[in-house]
Amino acid sequence: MSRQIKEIRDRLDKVAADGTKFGLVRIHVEPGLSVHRREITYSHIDTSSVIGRENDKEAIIQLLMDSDPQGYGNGHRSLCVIPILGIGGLGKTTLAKLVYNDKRIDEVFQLKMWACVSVDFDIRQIVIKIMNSVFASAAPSVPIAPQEDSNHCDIEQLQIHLRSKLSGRKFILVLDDVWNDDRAKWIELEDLIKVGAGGSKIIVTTRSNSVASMMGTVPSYVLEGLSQEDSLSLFVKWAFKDGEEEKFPNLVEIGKEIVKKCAGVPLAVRTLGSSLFSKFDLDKWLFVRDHEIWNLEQKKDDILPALKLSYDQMPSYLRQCFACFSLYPKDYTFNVVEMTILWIPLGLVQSKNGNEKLEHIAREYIHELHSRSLLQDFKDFGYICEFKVHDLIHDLAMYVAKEEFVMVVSHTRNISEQAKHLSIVEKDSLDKVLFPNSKSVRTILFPVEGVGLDNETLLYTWVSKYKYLRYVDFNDSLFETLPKSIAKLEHLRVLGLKNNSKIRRLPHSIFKLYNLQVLILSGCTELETLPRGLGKMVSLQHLFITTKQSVLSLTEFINLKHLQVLAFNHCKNMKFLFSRAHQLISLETLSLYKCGSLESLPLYIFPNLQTLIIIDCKMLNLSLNNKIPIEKLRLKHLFIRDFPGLLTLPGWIEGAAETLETLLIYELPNLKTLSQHLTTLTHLKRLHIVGCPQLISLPSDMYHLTALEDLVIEDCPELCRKFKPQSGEYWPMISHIKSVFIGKSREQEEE
Amino acid sequence: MDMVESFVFDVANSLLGKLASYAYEEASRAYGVYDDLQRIKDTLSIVRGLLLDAEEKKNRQHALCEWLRQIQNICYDAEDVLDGFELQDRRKQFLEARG
Repeated sequence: MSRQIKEIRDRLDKVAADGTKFGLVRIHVEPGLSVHRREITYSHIDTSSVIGRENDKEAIIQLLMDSDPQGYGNGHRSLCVIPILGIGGLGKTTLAKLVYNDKRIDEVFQLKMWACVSVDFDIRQIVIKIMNSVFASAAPSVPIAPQEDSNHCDIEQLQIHLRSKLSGRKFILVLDDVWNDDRAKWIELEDLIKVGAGGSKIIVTTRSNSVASMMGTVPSYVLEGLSQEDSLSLFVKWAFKDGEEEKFPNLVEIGKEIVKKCAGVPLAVRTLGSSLFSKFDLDKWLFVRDHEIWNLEQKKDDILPALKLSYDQMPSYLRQCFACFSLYPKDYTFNVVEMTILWIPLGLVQSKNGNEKLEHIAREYIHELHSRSLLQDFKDFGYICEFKVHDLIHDLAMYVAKEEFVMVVSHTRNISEQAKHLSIVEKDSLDKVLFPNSKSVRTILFPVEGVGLDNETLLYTWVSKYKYLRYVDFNDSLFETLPKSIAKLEHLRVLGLKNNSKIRRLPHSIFKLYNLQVLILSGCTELETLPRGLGKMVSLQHLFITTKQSVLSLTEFINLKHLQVLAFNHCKNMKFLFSRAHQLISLETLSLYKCGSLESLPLYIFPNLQTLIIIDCKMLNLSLNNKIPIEKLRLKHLFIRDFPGLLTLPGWIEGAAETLETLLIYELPNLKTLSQHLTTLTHLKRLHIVGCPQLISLPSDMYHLTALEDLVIEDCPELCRKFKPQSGEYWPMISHIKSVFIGKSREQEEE
Repeated sequence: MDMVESFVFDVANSLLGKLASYAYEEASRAYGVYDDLQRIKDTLSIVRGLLLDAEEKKNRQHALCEWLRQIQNICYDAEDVLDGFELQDRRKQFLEARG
């Protein structure tokens, strides 16, 4: 080892010395504060160039006309702030301009001001911009140069000036493209401008959910993409001169397919449309259709630079995590656990003080990406969270990830020697592609259902060549055995063999993978027994098992001192979890899926359990071997599904009164009552009752559940009738809850 | 516009974070490589300061691309070697569990 370190030291010294000849300057900034900016926006707009935003415009104007949209009652003089939220290129600024230039606005507001804020939230600069805007709107024909004037004023004078202009007048102010989430700065500005008359309004456009919720006084207006038809009209407008498209119906047809890439984002439509303007050469159109957006040439106000700004604003620690999204196909449903067990083993999650758990930090990363509007369709079920990545954001991830993160598709031939992370998403790709010779591949995964590895030669080559592999997930692969040499991959932290129905046993040597943190054997239905020596894999944190064994030996598990997640899938013969009474202190998550013979679940074995997931375990008696109450149950998330035998929730649930946040019960056809202790669960945030037709009432003291913010009742005819929003007889019992869904399916409601 | 992205800054950053941690300092003393690691850390800190400027200029000076790539490769290799420290520790636990 010391030889290797010396070698690194010498290489670095040499390269550092080489670097001196470039005349580089030391820049001491985090990349999050780097130099790329978007162009400054102005309030002017040619309304005829905008397509498909009529409804959005009317909705915002309604909010502006409403003298009291917050519902504070008359006479309340606080500022109303309306955030418009969406990803880059969606047309937030355009929408704000449409509204700003509508005649009705001029009638209602005495003063109109537009300030492009962008990345720096510098109070002085913003005040100057607002002042300039005031001058411009007051006397558009007077050629004054207020910018220079105000540059000489000190901030004190500026503020006095601004206040005197705004004081007592009803104004509308647009703060365009705000990134600042520092509340103190916003309050400072707010204090300055809240001297206007009642009914004054501020519109904020932003990509960031956290900015929107910090500044907004009404719910954010979440801007959606354009419809395919509107996208096509917009595309035609940019690609052809007026009426010219009628001469080229074949190009318009290709245009329809090109527009699909844009996922409703007008700036993307414009970028691709204008790149084809007055080009009638079929090949050029086909090229745009058949290439990813990030491979097409772009000017500086095109879509990719606009999106890339989101990346440039990202802190260093998020960048490679973000790039990982490029390993999965478009429209993939990600889940948080999956990302956590990719990011952590790859060393992408950094603990700032060394104390915080990496899992928590990884979850924070997800929330941070979400608040930057990079994730969508975010569904939070407590322990389980699912989300998708917008197509164009996926393009961005592909673009930034290019050489190092490679998604192998059927037309991939060569892979860069710089590649560190490989995902194989199309089956027919494997025969033709040349994998890198460099030893330093760290990740190989098969993320797509039904696309796996059945080529054992390739498996042997990878295992012997890539000795620094950290993450290997052979999802849905079919091979009979793993090479013995797998034990030599001492860096390996994740080994996934999910749904390999051919593999019968694992090599004995596998226990030598003492660095392995995650082992996934779920769906390996032919696996005879768990590897002997499992207990020696001292680093294991996540273990997913399918086994034919009827009893597991607890002694193997006792040594797994870091085991946090344990999942049993399709363990058909397993009657008892463990043969001896002993405790698994470290375990936080237990999942039982289709374990049809399992009879009891003694919870005292898992004193620190936080998440319990039970799905379709027919013989399980939840009360058996569980004394009531169980002291010190620390359960936070409980998910029970497909359980015909369950008539009522288990009594031990009251032991979790101090901790339970999530209770999800799905498809319990014979459930007649919830626990009488339900309303003692004062920390309960999320309650979903789905497919429990025999359940006909909820406890009358639901109001005790003060923390409850997400209630879903679905496929329970009687309950749905009684709790129907507004008209149901029991609606008042739940009307205080922030998010309530009563009805058939959630998706329908959202449409 | 800048069309070639790389993670060299992020990789260097993360490596420096590791090198600065107490665990690595301890381990490096135990294995007698403390001085070498400090040297790597110091050199890399200096280099990191230049990376952003290099990213800015690399489209004009092609040799800079190669330079950045070399640095990135060194960082990755260093990570692989340093992970070896953790491995040694685990190995000890493993051998104990094996009895």
